[in-house]
Amino acid sequence: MEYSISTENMKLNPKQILQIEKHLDFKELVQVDLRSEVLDHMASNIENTIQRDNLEFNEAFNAEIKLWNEDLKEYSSSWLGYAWVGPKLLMQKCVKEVKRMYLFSICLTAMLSAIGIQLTKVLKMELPTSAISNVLGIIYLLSFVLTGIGFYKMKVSKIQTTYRHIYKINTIGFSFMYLAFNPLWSDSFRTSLYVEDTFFGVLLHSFVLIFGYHSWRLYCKHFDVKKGFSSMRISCETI
Amino acid sequence: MANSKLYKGSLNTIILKLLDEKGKMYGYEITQKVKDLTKGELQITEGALYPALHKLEAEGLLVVEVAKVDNRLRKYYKLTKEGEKETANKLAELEDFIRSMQHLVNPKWNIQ
Repeated sequence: MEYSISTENMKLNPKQILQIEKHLDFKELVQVDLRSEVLDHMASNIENTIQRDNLEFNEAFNAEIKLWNEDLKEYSSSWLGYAWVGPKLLMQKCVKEVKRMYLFSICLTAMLSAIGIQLTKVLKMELPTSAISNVLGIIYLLSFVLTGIGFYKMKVSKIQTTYRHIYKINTIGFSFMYLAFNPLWSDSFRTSLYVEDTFFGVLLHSFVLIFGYHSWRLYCKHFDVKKGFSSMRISCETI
Repeated sequence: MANSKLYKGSLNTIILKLLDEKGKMYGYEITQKVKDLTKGELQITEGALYPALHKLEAEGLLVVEVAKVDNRLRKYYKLTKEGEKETANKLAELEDFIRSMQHLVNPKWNIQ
């Protein structure tokens, strides 16, 4: 059985495509990885509707807008902070990604902390706390600077992706933890490294370091998407 | 139209199976193919399809290929090696589920 996609005749012209683009601009769906597939889906269905029901473009376009209203309506989530509002399709994708990041970070933190603490106890190791604190402090400072450089590089890449959006709304804010919990100038975060004193320091620092890994992952994914779309030789500056 | 909730849990398996058969497909094509195969009984909404595709992509079961078609960009989804293995597992799971349901609902009827 052949499925009902019009492969001949009716194709939208660039002006009609632009009208869909304008609607997506209005809905603030600017992330190229999502926008391109929503645009293609809308355009394909409009072409199909025009051909099947013998409608004018504007009639089919208006019907299509109604179909997408729910998925493109303004949406926010406690996972991202209610201040961040965007199209539901985008925000839900961001929420899923962020949940995955937290889950991965929490699981790995618990596992590594448990192993580290047990090893220290079993081997009766005396941690060189001062040295560890200094190294950690320097790593945090570097991470803070690299997070900023990463965001700058994403910004000048002139392409918006879901991953850049998550980086902006989640990772940038998180990077201030590198300063707030930095053992170089915060005594409370130096002493808490003593395993015998408390587990909190080990857990906290493990989590911050592991979560920081996600900044790198988001950065790489952004440029993976850019690579895929750049090969199409489409100017992404307008997107 | 049949109760879509009955299909909901199988959406990922449906997507994987279609991609396994067709090689690569884009979002709209998947919705139309499903609609035709089920004679309009199942209509996958955009709000269900794209999150499912993105989840499968994030799990490393699908990869994306971008092509320029008819004045616009089109994202094609393809199975990865891991995706091919997962398709076989998911289909086996679904067949087991259908058999179990068959025993519960109509023991005389046979899937084979």
